Amino acid sequence: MALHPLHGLVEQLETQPIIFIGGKGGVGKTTTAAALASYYASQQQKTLIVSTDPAHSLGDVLNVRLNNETTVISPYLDAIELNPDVIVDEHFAQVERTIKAYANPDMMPKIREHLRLSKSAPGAQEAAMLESMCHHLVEAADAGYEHIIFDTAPTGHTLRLLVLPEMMGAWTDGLLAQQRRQAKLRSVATHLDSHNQKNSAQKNDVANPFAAKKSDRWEQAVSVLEKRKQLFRQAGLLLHDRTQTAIVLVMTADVLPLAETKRAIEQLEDSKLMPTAIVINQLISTAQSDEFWRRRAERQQHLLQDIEQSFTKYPLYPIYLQQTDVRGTDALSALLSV
Amino acid sequence: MENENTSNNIVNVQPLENTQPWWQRFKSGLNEFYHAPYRQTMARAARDEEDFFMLLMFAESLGIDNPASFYTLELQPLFLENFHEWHTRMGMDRCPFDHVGCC
Repeated sequence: MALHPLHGLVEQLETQPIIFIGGKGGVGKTTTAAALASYYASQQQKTLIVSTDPAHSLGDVLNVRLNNETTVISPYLDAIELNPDVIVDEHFAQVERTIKAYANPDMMPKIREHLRLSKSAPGAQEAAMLESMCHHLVEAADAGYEHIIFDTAPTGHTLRLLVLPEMMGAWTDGLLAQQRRQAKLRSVATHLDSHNQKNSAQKNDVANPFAAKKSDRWEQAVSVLEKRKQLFRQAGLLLHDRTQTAIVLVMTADVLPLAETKRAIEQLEDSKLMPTAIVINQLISTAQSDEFWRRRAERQQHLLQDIEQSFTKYPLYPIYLQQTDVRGTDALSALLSV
Repeated sequence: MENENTSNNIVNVQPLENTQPWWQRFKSGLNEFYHAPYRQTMARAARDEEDFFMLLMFAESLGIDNPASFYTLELQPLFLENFHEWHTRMGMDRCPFDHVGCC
């Protein structure tokens, strides 16, 4: 049997600083993530759990109201619910601050308008969230966390992390090089213009005060961009280091989740990422007195065979359905002590 | 020799007045003779390079997906200035796209 006892999951992930818990809605991502976080915290390993779910599932599971700031759950457990609206507002406020420092004041209304449009454009919230996730990812170790756990799979925008630094560089360097070339060529043309008596009288050589001024203007923006590029580069490296990052996929023993998990694995492998383990949640014990439930349990067991055959490369961990909802760190911790 | 013309406008052609001594006028004429052809080449080279890059930014304006552009919004003013200069030079008085906002 490729099914492993649940406690093995905890041991397998013990040395992983970064853990992503992925899976479709309703399969038990948040519960699994919170259970792992609670367990490690109970073992006095300082843990941060980060949720990107707009439906506040994490807060519900922990019985605590969470927000975009770090909330202390227990001495070794902190939790954050990333709020896309707050994050996107902060991002654009910072962009506007940077721009104000060097842009022509006459252009500010137009720039603000453009920023307003960009903010509501599709993908803007995801992009801003990704940057926020990267900050947490990269700063977790220095902040003293032994584990940072995300209740989301690294898919979509996250998988672009590897190419983002290069693309940003190409775009930025292109814009700036263009500007400098322009200024330089313009200055040469100007220098050749004998009618421009004033300038030529002041200049002794080819150095163009106009070009120098332009690059000084962008310096602040360039340094902000450079920092952002570095952030993405570091995050990308961490994500692709299997000794740093583990990706756990959660599913239920059903036909659609099986297909979805296969797809998710394909997508990850395309980006050169490999899942570390698969959790099969909400299993029904086969010892059932009721005929209806016995049938359901049997059906799941059949599917389990399909699942084992489909995922031979990865350790599988079954979690059985509980009588009541699992809420609060004690119950969550206990879930994994089986 | 003091220059009577106090205009800051680079583009205006300064008429050679009779107030200048003959040798200065001759010197200006020689300057023009040697430099005029190169000036046009340099200006054209500047335009060509910029035009190519403007095409890239045009694609950006058309909404062709570029994930990097969201993370480089700090350079928006630079983009706007370049774009405005470009479409003006292309003979379009007003911005071809409403949403770009340079006009």
